[in-house]
Amino acid sequence: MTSPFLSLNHVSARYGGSDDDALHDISVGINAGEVIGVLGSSGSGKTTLLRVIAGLHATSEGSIILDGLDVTTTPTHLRGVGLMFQEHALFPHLNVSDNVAFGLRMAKTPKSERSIRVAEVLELVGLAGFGTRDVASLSGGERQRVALARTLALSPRLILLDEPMGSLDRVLRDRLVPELRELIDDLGLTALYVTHDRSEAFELANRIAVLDEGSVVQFDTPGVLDARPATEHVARLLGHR
Amino acid sequence: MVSALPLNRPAPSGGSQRKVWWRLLAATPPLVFLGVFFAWPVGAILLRGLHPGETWNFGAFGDVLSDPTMQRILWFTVWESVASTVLCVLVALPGAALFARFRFRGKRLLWSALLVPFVLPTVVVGVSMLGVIGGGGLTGVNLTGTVWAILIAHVFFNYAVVVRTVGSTWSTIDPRLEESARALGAPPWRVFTEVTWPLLRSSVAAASSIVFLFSFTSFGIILILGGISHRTLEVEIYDQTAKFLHLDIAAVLAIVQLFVVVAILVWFGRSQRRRSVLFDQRSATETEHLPETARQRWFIRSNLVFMAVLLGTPLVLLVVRSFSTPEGWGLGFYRALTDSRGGSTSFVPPIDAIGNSLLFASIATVIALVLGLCAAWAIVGDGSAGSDSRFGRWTDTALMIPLGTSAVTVGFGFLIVFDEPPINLRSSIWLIPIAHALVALPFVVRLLVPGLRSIDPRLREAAATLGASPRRVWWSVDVPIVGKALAAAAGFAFAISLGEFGATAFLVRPDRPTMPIAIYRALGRPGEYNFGQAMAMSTILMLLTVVVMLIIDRFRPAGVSEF
Repeated sequence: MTSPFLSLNHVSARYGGSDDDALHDISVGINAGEVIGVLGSSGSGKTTLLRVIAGLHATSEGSIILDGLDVTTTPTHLRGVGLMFQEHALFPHLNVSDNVAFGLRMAKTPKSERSIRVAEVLELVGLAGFGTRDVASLSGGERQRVALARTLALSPRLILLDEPMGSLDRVLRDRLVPELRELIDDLGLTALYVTHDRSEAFELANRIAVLDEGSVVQFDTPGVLDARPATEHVARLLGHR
Repeated sequence: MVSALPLNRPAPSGGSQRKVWWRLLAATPPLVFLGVFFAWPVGAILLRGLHPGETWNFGAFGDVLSDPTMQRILWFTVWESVASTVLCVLVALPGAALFARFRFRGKRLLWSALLVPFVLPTVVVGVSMLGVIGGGGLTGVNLTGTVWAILIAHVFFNYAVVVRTVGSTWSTIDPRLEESARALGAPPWRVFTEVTWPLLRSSVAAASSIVFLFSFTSFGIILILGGISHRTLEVEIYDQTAKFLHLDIAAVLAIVQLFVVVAILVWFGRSQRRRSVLFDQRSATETEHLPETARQRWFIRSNLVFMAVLLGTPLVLLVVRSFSTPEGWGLGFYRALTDSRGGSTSFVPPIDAIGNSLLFASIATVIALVLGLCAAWAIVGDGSAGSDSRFGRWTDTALMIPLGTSAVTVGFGFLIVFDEPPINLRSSIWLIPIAHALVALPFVVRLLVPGLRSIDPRLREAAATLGASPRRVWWSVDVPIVGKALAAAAGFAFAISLGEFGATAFLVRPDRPTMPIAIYRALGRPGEYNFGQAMAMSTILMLLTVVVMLIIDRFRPAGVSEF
């Protein structure tokens, strides 16, 4: 049996000033090419889990192994993990293509290569020709695509998505989720997708981790999860009863 | 059932017509005040410099500006201000980051306490600096007369301007922008240069322009710490007028200074419009967090220690030394304040200055509040869409000009205009409060306008639909909300008047000194007891100012500029 692409071994984390773990003894393994849904109500620790994997928040215990290397104490900018926030966090002082090119610029990619790559990913997310637009002039859906393009530009080995549809309306979400699914499949991405929306998780994920009060209470495929929820809480979260 | 409430709403067209009239009427008193007590004196200075005799003469400029001494003064004023500004920004940026990003015990109190040096009278700043870096001070190093004393004092004085202006902008920047940059491979220093700095730049520019102006027109600090070799334009204008009676030279210098100040303000306004980046602002409580790592705890601790050393030491030392008489610890210096010795007929016991200062400050506060309220109301209108008109913006700009004008210029202008008919106020007690009100007015307006703007027009409409007459609406909606801003503005005006030195130095009569004047006089007399009296008086003035400032901070409305 091959070792997983990303594994968390007994990972705990806490916030300053609090004695309670925000994440408690989490051990999961994720294989290359898998899309993992992270499902939980607000305050369950889903966002903290992503932050710990991205290196934005320190672990208090345990280790994180990424692609065979222990990255537990590696600073964020050296982890090579893509990250996308709910509010998209586009740089307001840069236009669309400068936003997308940001990571490439940090990686010192030559200018000519950079513009080719930017055009490529903008094309990929369906925003060809948007390069010179001011990010403030974009619609919610367009902002979401720019954020995705910015994350994809560096071809990260793992992408972390924190409720990327969270700030969009239902109609837009129903259109964008299948698109995202297709993109993930085409590019063969390994991804963690945080959401509190059951249908989004079921539509996108190969496997779903359900979090409750900082612990993983169940980690299974959508089918198993639906058929045999491990606890009352999981069942309620899935909308049973 | 159909509501039968009487809705006595005026017809739209007639109503808006009437509104414009009311706003013009409201703008009249402050604009007339500015015209008489600012434009006229400044115009008189211009005339004195450019039209000394019967004809226009621009040659005086050439004469003054080609004088090597004047060139040296001008050059020193410029580079001392640039150096103060750069140093202050560099030193204060970590402090701004501290307040923007971390939650720690005593944060709110410290945020208020930072303002203490800034609201302190410059004379007190100078005196407390003497306690640290003067001869026989704490450090044992005597920096008086060196440019370092001036730079350190300017940083001490302006630290809060940068920390509070930049810090409050910084706290609205979404940390996720910085985190996104990190995830995209930016090391910490590049996160700062590529993301944080571009978003902070306009607030740094705003703070810098204020620090620059205060350093450029610095007077009290330079007089006390600069020695004979370091002089700013402001000091030279004073000396040329008060010591050498060269009013023409002083006029030319005042014009040069005014020109530089206006140029800076215009440049700043332009660059501000060009550079400012609009971004979604987060609330400060959302962006702050408790320290997580040892490094963050170290950052907080070292920042706090730095603030204690920079801001705390001089003030604590001032108080301590005011009790340390040659005969040991005691109230000797304070008791000496009531003595009327001094050997001069014009000498008054320094304790009288406290009464004078409180009287002047009360009058100045009333004048500034009444005019400020009129002006703020004219600027804001009724808060409905489109009432933020060009008229409002012009009134706003006009009222800001005195902010950039040096106090010495104001005092000098008063001196040449109001000591002869038609208005002879030279011997009246009104002159000083009027000058103080003029200096305070921009601050008062700056505090009142956001207060008025914060009134949701829907509140007024709601009150009107419930049958309240316009006067009732004003009394039951506007007044309670503006009350807080008014209290804060009153505090600021009072504190400014208590500490005003530059204009007062021109206008004061020997028998009616204010506290800053009394302190400066005491410093100028030899002997340990006179120096001790300056310390004691400074301590009293500091306490008064701190009390007033605590009141301000209690009532400060949300979203008001940070100084």
